[in-house]
Amino acid sequence: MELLDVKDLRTHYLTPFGAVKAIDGISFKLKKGVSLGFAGESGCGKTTVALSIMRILPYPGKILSGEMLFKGTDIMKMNEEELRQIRWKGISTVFQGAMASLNPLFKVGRQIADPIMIHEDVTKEEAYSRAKELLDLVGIEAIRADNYPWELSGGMRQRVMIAMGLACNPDVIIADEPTTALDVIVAHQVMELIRDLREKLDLSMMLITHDISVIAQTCDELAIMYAGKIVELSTVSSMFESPLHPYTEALISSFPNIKGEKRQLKSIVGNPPDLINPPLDCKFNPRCPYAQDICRSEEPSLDKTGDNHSVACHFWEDILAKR
Amino acid sequence: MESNTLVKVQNLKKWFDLSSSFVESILSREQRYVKAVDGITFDIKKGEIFGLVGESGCGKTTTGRLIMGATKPTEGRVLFDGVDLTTIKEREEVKKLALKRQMIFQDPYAYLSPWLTVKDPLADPLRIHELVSNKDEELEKVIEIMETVDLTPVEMLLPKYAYELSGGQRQRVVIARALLLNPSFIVADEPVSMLDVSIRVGILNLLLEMRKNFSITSLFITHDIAVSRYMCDRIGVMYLGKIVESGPTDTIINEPLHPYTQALLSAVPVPDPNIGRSEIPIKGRIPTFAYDFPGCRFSPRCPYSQDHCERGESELIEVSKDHFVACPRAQGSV
Repeated sequence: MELLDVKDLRTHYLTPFGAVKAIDGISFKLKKGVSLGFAGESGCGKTTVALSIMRILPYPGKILSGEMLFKGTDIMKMNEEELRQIRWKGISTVFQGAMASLNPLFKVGRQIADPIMIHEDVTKEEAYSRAKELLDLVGIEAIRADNYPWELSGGMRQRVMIAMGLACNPDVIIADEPTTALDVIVAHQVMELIRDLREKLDLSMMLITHDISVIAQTCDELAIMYAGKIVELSTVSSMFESPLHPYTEALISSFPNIKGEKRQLKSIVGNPPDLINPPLDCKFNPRCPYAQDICRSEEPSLDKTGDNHSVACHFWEDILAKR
Repeated sequence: MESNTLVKVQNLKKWFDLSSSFVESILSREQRYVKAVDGITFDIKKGEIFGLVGESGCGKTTTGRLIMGATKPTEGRVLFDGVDLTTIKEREEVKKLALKRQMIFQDPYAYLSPWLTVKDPLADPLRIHELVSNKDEELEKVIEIMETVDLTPVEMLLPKYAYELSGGQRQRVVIARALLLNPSFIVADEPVSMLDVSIRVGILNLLLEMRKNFSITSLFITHDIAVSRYMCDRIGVMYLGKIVESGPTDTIINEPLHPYTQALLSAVPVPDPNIGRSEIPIKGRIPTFAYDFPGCRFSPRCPYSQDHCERGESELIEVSKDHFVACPRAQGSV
């Protein structure tokens, strides 16, 4: 069963300069126990997906249309009280930049216990002891519950954020760039922790990151976003084995790798489009090496190419044949 | 000194004083320091790209600044083309050598003034160093350098302000400015870490091309080993102000000997789902602050740590050609 079923979501930021089309019609499903990665460059709309699902878009963001079914109920139609019920308990978020997301005035134990007290019928003591268990689960000594966020290192703060995300046993965790601000070794430890917890607790997860190598090693499925659209969606193994969208292909081949043959990296010419006036046709066509007339007149839809693979490109068959 | 060495760093140290006030410095018996760079020695050969790799706080940026002369070392020497940069006093000489060393900074958003157009930061150095005699020549030079770094179309970009440029274009302006005065040596401090993935490779390839076309020697500072593998001929791995291992890039990546290098390498995610994740053996984290330890500074986190590691620090020793490592276990002496 699908935990989360997003259909044709459209979220724009209505700025005085025009509508920034951050998400322009995306659909995806998240099944139970699956981890779905979202990858793309900055400004492609990945974080807006998370904010839209939680319905916590900052001004002037607005969800213009779409359906977001969480366990069969449309999040779009919920009122504030219903939303409050599902935030933390149904869907929780681990935000990017743990320093900015924790309140410097409260001890971390309290910040983890807060959502537990709100959502569950527990005493203060029970909530605090659960907070300590959670800290232990993410590899921080329980005694650290009495520390303030600024007394912890970056990696520990990120672990606290993960503990908060797990506080109410949510069905879905959305992790937005959980390791971006961390050093390599610490980032590795945090990703390892997320993987362990997924196995232990059978979590469903959405992992949002610009780093496809993190997704390659943590996720089951992968959605590549470009200019507010999902351009390719498939299982991770199928995507890395044969990327069908030219953008995915370029993205994978622009990543330096420490394993295997050293190869010449190719850059993607040009820049991502301005989302106030994006190309109306295929959004990638100005940068695409395969672009032809049809790409400039007709926008490709996200079509199935196989069991677990869909791509939005007119020429995916040609690209596949050339390989 | 051999003629093919351009930069020679000898036992370079930079300690930052921790005492916060004059009174405190008189009263406290013991002086406390942050040893950002704590005795490093390496050479950079002519035409080579030498990489410094390590986590944040390991002293790699401070090393770059010391070589640039942006801070004064506490101890040690930097020889540039045979001249000791730490002792020269004469103004003309300092200026002449400063022209030959340029730096590419990490953050192109902070580097360029929002008040200036693309032309200004590129034209100013030419005028200040009297490399051009009139406005026409100045413009000609600016256009030439912009074409070299692929800042095109030139006519369109010239009158633009920095905030009107994309991240990749800004970084190209920064690179153009570094190349403008025909330097023989460039310090590139995390030149791509602020840029988006698709832009990053373009900048890296540009830097490689510059090396090929102008035979510029560089010190390439990065936290990303995968990037250093792509860019560098040799790399040095830094941990808490010390180089713990150095050697040709391929040797370091394929046969790392120091436990810290091994951990660092196994922590790098690989863009390939078929390669499983590897366990990293080390625990804990870098001590952030005024670290004073008689033994090997990595030993508290090292899985192979033994008694002797906590007593004395081992020096970099050549274990095979050009491959240096500071660990008795790797050196085979234990």
